[in-house]
Amino acid sequence: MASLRFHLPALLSGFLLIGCQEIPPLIQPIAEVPATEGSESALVLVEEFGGVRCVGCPAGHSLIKELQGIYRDKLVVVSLHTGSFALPYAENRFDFRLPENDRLLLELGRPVGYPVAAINRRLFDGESSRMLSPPQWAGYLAQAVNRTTPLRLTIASTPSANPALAACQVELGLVRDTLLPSLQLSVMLVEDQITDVQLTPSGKQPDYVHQNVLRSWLTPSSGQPVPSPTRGSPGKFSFTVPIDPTWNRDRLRWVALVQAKSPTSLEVLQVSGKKM
Amino acid sequence: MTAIAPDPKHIYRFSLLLFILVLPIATLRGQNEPSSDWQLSGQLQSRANFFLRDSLIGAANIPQYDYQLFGAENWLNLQAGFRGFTLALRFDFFQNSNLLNPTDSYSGQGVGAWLLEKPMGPLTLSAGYIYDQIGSGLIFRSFEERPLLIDNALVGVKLKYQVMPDLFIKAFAGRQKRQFDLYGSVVRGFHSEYFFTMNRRGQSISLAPGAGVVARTLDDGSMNNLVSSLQTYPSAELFVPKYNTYAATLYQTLRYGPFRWYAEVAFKTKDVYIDPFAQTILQGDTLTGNRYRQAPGHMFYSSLSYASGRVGLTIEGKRTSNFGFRTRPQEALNRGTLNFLPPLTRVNTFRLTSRYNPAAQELQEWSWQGDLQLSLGEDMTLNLNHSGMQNDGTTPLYREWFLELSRQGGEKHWSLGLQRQIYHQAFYEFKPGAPIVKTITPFAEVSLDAGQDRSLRLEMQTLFMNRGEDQQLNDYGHWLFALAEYNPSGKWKFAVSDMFNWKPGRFSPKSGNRSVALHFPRFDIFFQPGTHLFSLSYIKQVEGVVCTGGICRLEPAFSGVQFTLNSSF
Repeated sequence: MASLRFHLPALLSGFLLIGCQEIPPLIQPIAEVPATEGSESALVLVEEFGGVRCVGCPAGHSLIKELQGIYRDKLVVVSLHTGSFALPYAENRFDFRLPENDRLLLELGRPVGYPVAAINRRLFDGESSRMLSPPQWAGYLAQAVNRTTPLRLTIASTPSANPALAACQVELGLVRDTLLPSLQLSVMLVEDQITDVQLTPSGKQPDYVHQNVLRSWLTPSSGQPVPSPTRGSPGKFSFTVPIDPTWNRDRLRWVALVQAKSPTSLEVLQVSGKKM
Repeated sequence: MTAIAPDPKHIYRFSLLLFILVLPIATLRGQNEPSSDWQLSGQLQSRANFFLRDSLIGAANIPQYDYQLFGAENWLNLQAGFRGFTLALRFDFFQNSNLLNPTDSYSGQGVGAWLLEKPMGPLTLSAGYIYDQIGSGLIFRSFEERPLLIDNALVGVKLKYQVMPDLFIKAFAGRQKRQFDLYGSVVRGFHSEYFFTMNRRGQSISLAPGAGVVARTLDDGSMNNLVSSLQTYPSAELFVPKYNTYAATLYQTLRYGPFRWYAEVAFKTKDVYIDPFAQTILQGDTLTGNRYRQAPGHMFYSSLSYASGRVGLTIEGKRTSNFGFRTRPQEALNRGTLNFLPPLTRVNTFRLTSRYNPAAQELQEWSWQGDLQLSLGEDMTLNLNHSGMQNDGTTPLYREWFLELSRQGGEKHWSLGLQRQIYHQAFYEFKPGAPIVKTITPFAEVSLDAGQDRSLRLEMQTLFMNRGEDQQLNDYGHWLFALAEYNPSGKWKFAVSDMFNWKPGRFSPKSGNRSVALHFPRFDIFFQPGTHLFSLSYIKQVEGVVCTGGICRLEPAFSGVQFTLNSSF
C-alpha cells in the first residue's frame, strides 16, 4: 500500500505525457503576395484605432507597414484616432479626432485596450470582438486576403470649381450577375505623412510621421444605403468634401467601402483606395 | 477540424430544464421528508450603477456616462442536494455592465455555471463548470473574481478518487469558459496530494506533498491564426509552434512545531506567448511591441513562517520566468489565463496605502516579502513588513516598507503607522516618461465600541508624493483621506469619506492648463436585516489600479450612485 502512495500518482501523470510527439504545423514564410489579380479579387480594409497618447500605437503602425510590404495593394489601411488616447497634447498641430470615428467605434464595439484594428469589420470565428489586437492581425489578414467578391468598386477624382472643395465619383458595379443583400456605401478622405507629436515608448516624439490618418467622412461611418447594382449598369455616386488648408492635397487619398449589413454582420464586401 | 462550441442557448435550456425538474420534487419532498434528505439554498448578489458624468475626473466618454446612464450585474446561485447528489446552478445577468471592459458596455444573460456532483464511495464525479486549483495555482487555477469579471471555469468533467484517507488522485478535462461561450483549446490535468503526520520528541511533524500536471492543446482556429501571423515574421524570428504545452508542479507543506514551510516548483514546456517588450528590426527601424515568442518557463515559490505566542514571522520568495499560461496565445491582460501567479506584495486595506499595486509579472519577476508581527504586551501589536518586486533590470520596480502599531482590546481599538512605497509607474501602467513614484503615507485608525452593537470608526491618511526632475509632483501629487463610519445598531451602518487631492501632480485632472485640487467624496448607507445586506452609495472615485485576489487592472474613474444587495436564503 505504501508503494501505491508514491507510484500511482507517477503512473497516472505519465498518461498525460503519452503521445508527446506531434506533427507540427507547416510554416511557409510569406515574403510577398502577388499583386491583385482576377476580376473578383476583394481588397481588405484594415481600420486601425488609436491615438497620439497611445504608447503601443507606433508598434502597431510598424506592424501595419510590415503587412503592407507583404500584401501590397491588397490592403487598404485607415487609421482612426478615437478614445481617450486620441486627446491631442498641447504640442500637437492637429486634432485627428472625428465624431464619426467615435460612432464607428460604438458600432464595432469598444476595445479593452489600444491599438486595435478591425479587419473588414468582420467578427471572426472564435472571437468575441471585431476589435483585434496586433498579434491577431496577420493571422486574420491571411484569411481575409483570399476572399473574392463579384462587386467592383472604383473611385475617381472629379474637378471642382471651388478650390476649397474636392470631389470624387464612386462607381459600384458587378462583374457577374448575382443576388446581393442591401448594401451600405461609406467614403472617407485619408492623409499620409503628417508630421506631428506621438507618444512612443521613449516619450513624446515631436517629428513622428503619421500614416493613413482619417481626415474626413463623406458619408456616415455606418454608411449610406445604395441600391444593389446589376451587371452592365453600375451605380454612380458623387461626393464633395471641404479641404482644410492645412492638409496636403498631394498626400490625400479617397477610400470607399461597401458593406452588407444584417443584424449579425457588418462585413465589408469590397474596398477601394485612390490618390486624390 | 474546427472546434464546435456548444450553443449557449442549449446549455441554458438544458440547465433550466434540469433545475425545473429537480426543484418542484425537491420542494415537495423537502416539505414531507426529513430535512437531512434535501438541502436547498441560494445566494443573490446584485449591483446596480447609476452613472453621473464628470468629465473633469475622467468619468466620461463611455456609453454608460454618455447615454446609457444605468448598468447592472446580478448573480443568482442555487444549490440543491439530495442523497449525495449536488446540483449547483448560477444565473448571470449583465445589463450595460462596465465590469468586463471598464471602457465599454456589456450586456448578456444566461446560465453562468452549473455543476452536478455525486460521491460514490471513494470516487467523486463532477461534471459542469469546475472551479479548482493545483497547489497554489501556478499551473492551474479555475476561479471567479467578480469585481474584475474574471470567470475562468473549466467546463468539463472531473474525477476524484480517494485512494486512501490520506491520498487522493484527481483528473479533469474540459475547455475554458468565456462569458457565455467556450474557448476552443482543450485542457486536461492530473493532481494528487498526500498527507503524512508523525510525532518526534513530542512535536508534531506533518508533511503534505502534492504533484500536478496540466496539458493544453491549442484548437485549430487558434493555431491557424498563429501560423498565419508567424508566416509574416522574418526568418530570424520564425519558430514552429507546439499544439501541446505541458506544465508540471511539485509542492509540499512541512509543519514542525511552530514552523511551517511551503515550497512549490513548476515547469512548463515550450509555449507560445506574446512578448510586449520584444525588440524587432523592421526595414531598418527598431520596434518595441507585441511579438509571438516560444520558450519553456519555470517558477519557484516558497514561504517559511514561524508563529509562537508573541512572535509571528513570515518570509516569502518567488521567481518567475516566462510563466504565463493561457488557453491560447492570442489572449492578453486578464483573459484566458489557465494559471494564477500569486502576488508577494502586501495586501493593503487603507485607501491611500493601497493606491499603488504592482501586478504580478508573467515574463520575468523576482519578488520577496518579510512580515513580522510582535506582541508588545497584552493587547498591543507591532507589524513590520517589507516587500519588493524586480525584473532582470536594475531599476527598482516596486518596494514597500510598512510599520503599524495597533491596540486591540477593551472598548477602544486604534492603530497608527507609516508606509513607504517606490513604484515604477511607467512600467506597471504603461505610462512612458512617468517618473518613479515615491510615497510616504502616515495613517491612523480609531474604533470606539459603545456597546449594544453601536460603534464609531475613524480613519485618516495622508499620502506625500515625491517630485520629478522638473520639480512637478509625480502622478496625482499629495492626497488626504478621511473616513467616519457609524453603526447605530446591528442593522444599520453609515459611512462618509473624502479623498482630497490637495496638492495636484502632473497627471491630476486639468481645467484648461491648470491642475485642479479635487475632492472624491463617498457616502454609504448599509442595512442588514437578517441574511440580506443592502447598500446605497454615492461614489466619486479616482482612476487607479484595482487589485482583487492578486489580479490587477487599471480602472478608470467612477462617478455615480451604486446599489448593492447580497442575500442568502
